[in-house]
Amino acid sequence: MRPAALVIPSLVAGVIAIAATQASDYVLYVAMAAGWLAILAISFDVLVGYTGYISLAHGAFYGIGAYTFANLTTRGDWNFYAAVPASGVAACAIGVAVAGIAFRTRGLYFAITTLGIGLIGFQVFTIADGLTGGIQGFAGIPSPPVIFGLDPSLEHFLLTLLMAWIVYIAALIFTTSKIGMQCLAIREDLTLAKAMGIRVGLVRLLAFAFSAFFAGIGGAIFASASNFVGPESFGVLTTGFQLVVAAVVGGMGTLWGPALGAVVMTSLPEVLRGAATYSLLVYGCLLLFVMIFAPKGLAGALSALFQRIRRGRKGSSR
Amino acid sequence: MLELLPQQLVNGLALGALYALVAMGLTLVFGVLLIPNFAHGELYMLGGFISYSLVAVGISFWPAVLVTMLVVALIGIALDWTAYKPIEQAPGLSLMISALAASVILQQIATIIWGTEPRTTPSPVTGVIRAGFITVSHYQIMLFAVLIAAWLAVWYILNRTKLGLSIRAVSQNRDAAALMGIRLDRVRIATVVLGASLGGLAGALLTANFPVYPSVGTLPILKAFVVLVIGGIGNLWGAVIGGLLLGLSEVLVAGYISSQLQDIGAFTILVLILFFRPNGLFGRAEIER
Repeated sequence: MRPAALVIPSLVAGVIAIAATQASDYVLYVAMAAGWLAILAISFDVLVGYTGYISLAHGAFYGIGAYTFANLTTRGDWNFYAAVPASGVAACAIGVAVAGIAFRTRGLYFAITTLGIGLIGFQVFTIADGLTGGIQGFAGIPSPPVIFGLDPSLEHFLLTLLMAWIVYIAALIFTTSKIGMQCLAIREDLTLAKAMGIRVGLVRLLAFAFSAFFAGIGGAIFASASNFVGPESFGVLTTGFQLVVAAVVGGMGTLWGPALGAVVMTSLPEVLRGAATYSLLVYGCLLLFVMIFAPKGLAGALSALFQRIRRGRKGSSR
Repeated sequence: MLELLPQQLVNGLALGALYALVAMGLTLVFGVLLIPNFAHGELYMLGGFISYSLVAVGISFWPAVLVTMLVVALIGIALDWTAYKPIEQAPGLSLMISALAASVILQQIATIIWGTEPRTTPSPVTGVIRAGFITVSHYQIMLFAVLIAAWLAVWYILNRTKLGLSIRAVSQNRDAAALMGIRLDRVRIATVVLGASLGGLAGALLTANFPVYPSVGTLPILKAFVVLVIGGIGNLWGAVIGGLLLGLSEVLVAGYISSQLQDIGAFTILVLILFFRPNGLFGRAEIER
C-alpha cells in the first residue's frame, strides 16, 4: 500500500470535518445520511467490487446492526462503545450464515438468492415486533455520547465521518492484503483461482464477513444518530438498492468511488428538491445514464480525466 | 379448517395464475436475452393503468386488453432500446442495475400521469359459481382461461413457427445461432414484444378485480423471480407450474399458519431451492457471462 493511499483519504476527511463546523444543521443532516450510505457502500464494495459477488441482502445486515444496537442500549444498558462493535459482530454472524447458503450459487443466481434473503430479513423486521418494534419502528434509541462539547448534530456528523474513515482504511488494508489479492483472483476467474491453490471458500467467506460486519456497524451508527429506526430503512428496494446504486454510480472495485457515489446519490435528491415530483425520475435517469455511458462509474470517468490531463501536460512539455 | 381446503386451493390457483402470467413474460426475456428484467413489473403496472384508462374512455374490456398489449409491447421495445440494448455485452449485474433504474423511471412516469391513487376497472366478468363448499368467481375462471390460452399461444409460437425456432436457437447458443444466419435483432424484438405483451395482459387482467397503483408491480416481479427459480430460467412450462405452486403455497401458508408469513414463505422457498439446487429446481446449464 502506498502511503498516499492513506494520506489522501485522511486529508479529505480532515477538510470535510473543518468545513462541517461552518455548516447548517440541514447540511449536516444530509452529510450524515451520505456518511451512513458511504459506510455501507465501502463495505459493500469489498464484496462486490473485489470478489464479484453481488449481494442484495446488505440492507438486512444494516438492519441487524441497527436493531442489535437498539436492543443492547435500551434493554441491555450497554454503553455506546461496547454496543457498536457488538452490532457489527451480530451482523457478521448472520452474514456468515447467509454466506454459507448463498455461496452455493454463482452469478445472477447469487444475486437472486441474496435478494430472497434480503426480503426475508425485511419481513422478519416487520413481524418480530418484540425485538424491532414492527412496522411502528423502534423509538428512543440513545444518542452517541458528546465528546468535545460541541453542538450535538455536529458531533454526530463528526462521529459518522470518523466511522466512514475507519471503514475506508480497514477496507483498504483488507483489499491490499494477500486475501484482497486472492479476492481479485476469484473475481477474475474462479476456476483458475482454485487451480492456483487459493482457498476460494474461505477467502470469499472472509470478504462477505468483513462486508457484513461493517454494514452492521453502519446500522448501529445510523440507529444511534437518528434515535429511531423503522423497517422501511432496511428493505431490499430501499437501502439495499441505494447502496448498489452508490457503488455502481461511484465505480466498483475502487473503494473511494462508492464513497463518492454515496455522497452524490444522497445529495442529488436534496439539490433536486425544488422539483420534488421529478427528483426520483431524474435519479433513475441518471442511474441509467451512468450505466450506459460510464459503466466504470464516476471513479472510472475521473481516473480517465486525470490520465488525459497528465498525458496532455507531458505532450505540451515535449 | 379442513373443509375450507378446496376453497383455499381454488383461491391459491387463481393467485398463482396471475403469478404465472407475469413469470411467463419474465422467463422468456431472461431465458433468451439474459436480461433480469426487473422493469417487467412496471410493464405489468402500465398494462393495468392503460387498460384502466381505455375502459374509462368507454372502450369495452376485451378490445381494451388487446390495445393494452400492443401499447405495452411498444413500451417494451422502447425500454429495450434505451436500457438494455446499449449495454448488450455488459455483465449481468449491469443489466440488472439498468433494469432497476428503468423500473424507477417507469414508476415515476406512471405517478406523473395517473397519480398514486389506486384505481379499479369495473369488472367485465362478475358473478360466482357455487358448488358445495367451493365458490369460484367468474373472474377466477377467466384468469385460468387466459393463462391457458396465453400459454398455448406462446407454446405455439415457440415450437411451431420459424420465428420460434430462431428464438429457441438464440436461447441455446447466441453465437452459433448468429452463425447459422439467424437475425439476432429480429429475435430480440420478437422476444421483447412477446414478453412485454404478456406483462401487459397480466396487468390488464389485474385491474379487472384489483386496484392498480404505480408500485403495484414491485411485489409480483419479486415473486416472479421466485417462480423463475422454481421453474428454471427460460422454461415456459416451469413458469406456469411454478406460478401455480407458489400461489397455492402462499394461500395455504396464509390460511393455515399465518397471513404475516405469506411473503416470507415465498422467499424461503426461493432460498431453500437455491440452497439445495443452486441452478434452480429444474436447473439447466448455469447462466453466466
